[in-house]
Amino acid sequence: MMPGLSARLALRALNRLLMIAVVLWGAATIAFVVVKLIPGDPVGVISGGDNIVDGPQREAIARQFGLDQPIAVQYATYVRRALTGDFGTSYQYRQPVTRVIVEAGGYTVQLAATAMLIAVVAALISAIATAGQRAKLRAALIGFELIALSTPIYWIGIVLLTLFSFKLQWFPVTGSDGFRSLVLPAVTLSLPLGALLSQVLRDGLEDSLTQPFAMTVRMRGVGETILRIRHGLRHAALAASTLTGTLLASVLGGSILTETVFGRPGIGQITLQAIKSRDMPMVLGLVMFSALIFVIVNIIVDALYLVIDPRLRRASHE
Amino acid sequence: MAAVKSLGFLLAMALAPAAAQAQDTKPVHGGTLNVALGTDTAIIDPSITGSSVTAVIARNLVDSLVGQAEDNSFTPWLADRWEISDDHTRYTFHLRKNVTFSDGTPLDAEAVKYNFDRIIDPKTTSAYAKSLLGPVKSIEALDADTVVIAYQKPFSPLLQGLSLPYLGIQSPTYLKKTANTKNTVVGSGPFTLESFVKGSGSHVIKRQDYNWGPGYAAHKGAAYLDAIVFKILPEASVRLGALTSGQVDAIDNVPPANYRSVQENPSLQVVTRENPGVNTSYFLNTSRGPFADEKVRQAFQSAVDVKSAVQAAYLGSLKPADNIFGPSTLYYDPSIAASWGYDPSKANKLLDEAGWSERDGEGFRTKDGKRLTVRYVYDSSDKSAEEVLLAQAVQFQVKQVGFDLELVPTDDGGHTGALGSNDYDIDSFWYVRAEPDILRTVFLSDYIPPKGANSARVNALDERLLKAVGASDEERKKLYGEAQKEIIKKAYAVPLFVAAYQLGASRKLQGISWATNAKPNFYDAWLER
Repeated sequence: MMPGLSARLALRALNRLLMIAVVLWGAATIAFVVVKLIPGDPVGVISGGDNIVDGPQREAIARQFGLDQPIAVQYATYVRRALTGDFGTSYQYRQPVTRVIVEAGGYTVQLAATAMLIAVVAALISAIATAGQRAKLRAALIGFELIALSTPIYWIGIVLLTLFSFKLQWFPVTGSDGFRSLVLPAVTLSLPLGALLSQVLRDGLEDSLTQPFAMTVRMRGVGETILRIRHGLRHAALAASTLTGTLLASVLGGSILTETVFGRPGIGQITLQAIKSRDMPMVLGLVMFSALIFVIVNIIVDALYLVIDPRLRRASHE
Repeated sequence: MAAVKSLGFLLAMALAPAAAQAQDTKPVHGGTLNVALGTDTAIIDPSITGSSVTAVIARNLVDSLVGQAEDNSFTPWLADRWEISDDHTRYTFHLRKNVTFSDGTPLDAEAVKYNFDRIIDPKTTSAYAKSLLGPVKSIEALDADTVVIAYQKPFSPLLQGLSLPYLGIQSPTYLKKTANTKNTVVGSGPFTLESFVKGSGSHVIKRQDYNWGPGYAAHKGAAYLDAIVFKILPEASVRLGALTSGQVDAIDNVPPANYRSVQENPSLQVVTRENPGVNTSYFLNTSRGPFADEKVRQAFQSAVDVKSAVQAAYLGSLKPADNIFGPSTLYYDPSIAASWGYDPSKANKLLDEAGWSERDGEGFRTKDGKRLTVRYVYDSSDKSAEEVLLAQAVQFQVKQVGFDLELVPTDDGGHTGALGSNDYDIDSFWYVRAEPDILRTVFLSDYIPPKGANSARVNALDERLLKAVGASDEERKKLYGEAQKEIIKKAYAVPLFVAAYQLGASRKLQGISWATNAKPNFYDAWLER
């Protein structure tokens, strides 16, 4: 080990942290500006429903939520509070934004994680089994993937519901109670994800199997399946992992529709409601929450690169 | 043949509710009722929200001082009896004895006072409940069983407000120790709240020792149902599928396109309850643009063929309006219907008189080279597909006499923004309330946007509406009659249809009653085995 290494690592980490801070601050600021630019009446949202508010009451509400302050002051307060993880009180829920997000987050994480798991497993099986072989099955799967990718997710949800819930009655239509109610929403959300992953993985795998190293491995007498799993997949995974951002976005976007169709609680529902009713603190909190997830996932993926591709590891030691 | 069939359909519609009531099978105890609702609510505490979903759920959890029967009469509930001073400034309520909240706290005068004081306290941020209480001077607990609500000026609509779940009484012990009541309610109602999950729904369970209830109810004692599960299913087709496959027993907002198929399904029923209050109407902005001219407003009103437009959009599932009030509103005046209607030649004549006599290349009328354009600004997330269809039908109809009706869909913010900055010609909404005082919310000059819902920006009704707040019954009837007449005559609004609560339900579900504000009440409901 060279003496300057730990110092350089520390510098890199610091650099990274700074970048994260800039990204989060940028997201917070853009969200604040956009939310303030949209016309509308937050007091109407706060008073809710059949709102009947007279003058003094409007002023009282505005004062309570700090809406009577100049924009610059509102921004400063918002950033100062955001630094401590406090995004204020939701207009609709009249509860701390952080608490609403945390409560709803559990349901979404459950849904998203299950969907991701299904998508990854299905994509792996499909890619390994059909890359460069089994022409008929390969064509059929590619066709299916194309359909899954280009079909709106709410429609997939309704078709699955009609078939497996309304007709066959295998799964309940609604709710968040138990494993059986998770199956249909998770499958719905996983279909487009799995289809995309599968296509990228298959392409990557087919590409790597034509590389000279594949020939070498084959010549060592290693079986085709082992070759695909142990050697080909690494190459394919590198390509697939660059898709993380896209996949994450479709998980978050897809969860809005999935949760709406299936009547599940979660971040998606809350986001939809927050935007619809211009619940500003909630929207800002959600934007920050998504930005944070993107940052965290990107860090994890960067670390995964090192695991997947040894060449990158060596480069970092030079 | 088609005519015969539709006649049969109409007959079935007319007979269905009667047939359901005629079945005198004995109610049975037990079972869980699953209800799927189309919209969610953010807050379950009825004192701090105006959400109608909250009202449907909370009606099972909190009792009110008085009940309002389906014929609009008031019945005892938590109050055994009451006295009202002749000038409507002093209401004395004598509370029923031996009522407890589900946490064991006894209901007494102090509990009632605590609830209303809390609603009036600005820190509570109650808007709707507070407006129902009116300009209260004082709330006093005279003794353990007597509460007096006093006003500086006469206030007549109190009883109706008190009958709504928004002014339902919650346990003061619970309220005092709970800083945040958005997710919980503890009342003295026939059910207790087991869980409330945003985006998912609510679960309420029967209270075994419930031994009181509204005077209008069909039975006394505990509710028949063991539990009710309210699920949130925003997607109409999913809600309908859940009902037809038997996974839920009832749904709200039956989609008009499927109305007939549900009605014809032998195991299902649709129960429609027309809203009392202000009908869904187009409110014409009297303060600016072409509609500042009374003749232009009257021309627009006469150019709309309400019956056929509503039929086209709602396929017969909702009734066209004939007045600003729905027929089940107190002091609804049936004679108004004959005073207006579709009359294109009258519309053409009025527009000629108003100076909009030229026509441009597209057939729209013009005046001094300016086209007769009116803008209908609406929040597209708030309007159903049927309402948009209805707007398109009206757009076509008024074009025949030369109006260029521009539909401007926007989001909630854009809509309230346009209202606040007076940048619209037409706004549309409805209000549910059996009490005609609702006209004050819609037509009092104090409530011109952004301060409220007076989208027609009318000043002329102030005197009558304020006087009616504290007047005798006879005088109120006269004043509200005049107001209804003037709203139509001066064309402040074009009433379109009587909004309704449509409950699609399994035929096994019996005994639903319709409490105030046309919301289903599950206290008397039971499930056939």
